[in-house]
Amino acid sequence: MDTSVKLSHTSALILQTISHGYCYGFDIMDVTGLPSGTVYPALRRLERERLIHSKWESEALAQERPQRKYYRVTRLGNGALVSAVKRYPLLERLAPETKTGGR
Amino acid sequence: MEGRPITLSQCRMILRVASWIVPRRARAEWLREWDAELAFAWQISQTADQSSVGKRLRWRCCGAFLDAAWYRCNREDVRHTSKQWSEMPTFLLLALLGVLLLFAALSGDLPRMRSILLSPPYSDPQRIVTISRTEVISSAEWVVPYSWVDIWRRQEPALEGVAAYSWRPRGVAVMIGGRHANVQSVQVEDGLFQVFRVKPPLGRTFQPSDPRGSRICLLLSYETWRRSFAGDANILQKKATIDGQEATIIGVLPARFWFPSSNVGVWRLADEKSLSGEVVGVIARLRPRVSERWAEWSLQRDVSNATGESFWGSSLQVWPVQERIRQPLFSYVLALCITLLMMTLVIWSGRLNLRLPGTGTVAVCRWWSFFAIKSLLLLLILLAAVVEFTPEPYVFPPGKATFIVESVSLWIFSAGCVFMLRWSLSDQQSRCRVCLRRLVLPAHIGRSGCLLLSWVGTELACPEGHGLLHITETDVCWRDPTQWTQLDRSWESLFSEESQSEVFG
Repeated sequence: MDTSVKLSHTSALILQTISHGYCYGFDIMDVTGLPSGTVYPALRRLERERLIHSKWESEALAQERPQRKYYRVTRLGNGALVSAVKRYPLLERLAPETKTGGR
Repeated sequence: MEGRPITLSQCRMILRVASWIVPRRARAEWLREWDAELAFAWQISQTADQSSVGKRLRWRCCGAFLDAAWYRCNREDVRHTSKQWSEMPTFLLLALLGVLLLFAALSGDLPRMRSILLSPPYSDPQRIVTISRTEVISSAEWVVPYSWVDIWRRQEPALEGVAAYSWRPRGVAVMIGGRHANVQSVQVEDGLFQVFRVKPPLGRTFQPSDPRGSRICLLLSYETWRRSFAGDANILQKKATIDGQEATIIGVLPARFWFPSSNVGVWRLADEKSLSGEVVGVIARLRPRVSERWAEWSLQRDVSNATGESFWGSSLQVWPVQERIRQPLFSYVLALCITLLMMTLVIWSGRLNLRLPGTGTVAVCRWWSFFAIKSLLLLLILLAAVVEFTPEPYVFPPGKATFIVESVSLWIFSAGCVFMLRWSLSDQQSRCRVCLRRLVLPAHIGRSGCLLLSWVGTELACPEGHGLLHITETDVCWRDPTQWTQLDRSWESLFSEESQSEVFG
């Protein structure tokens, strides 16, 4: 029986965006063009499914501004992303370029 | 707002409002994340066009409502919140109140309860009486022959008016102007409504000149008129039939009026011929300052003089209708008192441990007030269910179960009282002695298998951390050793919101 997590197209896109290094909520919105009312609930669901995990950035990185929360893809999430890319072939074309120099 | 730069404080205000939707335990972190994103976005966009940035941020902050709604409505959280709610004392009281309101709605505003509890809708009800014959030894009640009603009507000095009626609880089909209703009917003499002194809001009551036999004269109850015939003001001019026979509607009785049952929807005029062959009840109005005992003696004397009836082993009984109507209530109250007495004895004997060690006066008052309100609501629900939804006892003769003690509903009520109060006590036992929430996290304690494979005991905790209830499952003496342990402030950190969110996820 297939036990892998079934992702919607939007969730898969968000997961792929995070895996490409866009790890903040507002960054994901900028890159994907999805509205905040879609991105944040999707992030909560992905985190509940343990496909991503969140952490608060360090004070040193934040410096003068408030610390932001960032998201990382877990090992389980990477597996789910591979399955999702197979299921949604167009996903690779929509994928943003990998962020360099970011977190 | 279009074209005007939206300020950071306005965006923050939107986020604050949205944060009220987020459950309290996650609110601070949720707001912190959104605030940080907003501050960062604001910081990096200082050089950009302020108008477009403001618009974009405003839309993003509005999306926070959807994010907050996800927090509130996701299944885990709903389950967690509903579980927490169901443990609260307010939930139970509201649920019981809801059941009571549901019963009221289903029964149509509890008509039987109102007829028992409220004053009867008759003028001078203390002077309106029923007349029946009672066996001296068995107290069995019998109706009187119709011929005696004529004797009293002609010469009785104790009575201002007297009338007979014949009633069997069976439905009749009434059709008026294309509308149709199935209601109970009663046959009455024309003088009955003079005894009650009823003033109908529409039409009139029966008169001696009304036709009998060939065409049936009918009076409708207010409820039947309003519900089944849509309160038609021209109903008196419309063609009517009752069980297929032609009839004339001559009036509609006042809103609260009922006799001899709250289910009766139609009163039809009876003639002497039809009543003489029927089992009839008698209703009368006493003259002012005439006592029931004197009326009984006077009525009996008149019958003896006129017919030679000896009344051996029996006597006439004059019984005020007000007392008759309230009789079921007395029986219910008696059954309730007996149950309460039994419960008090059980509590007093120590079998149900409701001691509140370590709690203050306010907590003790809250505890017992909650128990009293809960039990009262339970008993009201039971009373409403029994009175409204079991077969109606015959309050007025001719009826078999005049004494309500014989009726099924009283036995159901008595058994229900025991069950409801026992449940109320058992629910009370399993609640926190301080905050009254239901105790949770049952844990078996001790070793199993010591006696009949049973655990030594179970321990339950208050979700707020006020204390622990220890229930011993294998009694070793006649006194129940259930114990409540009040936890002091040193335990608070274990039951804090953070710890709970870790447990519940």
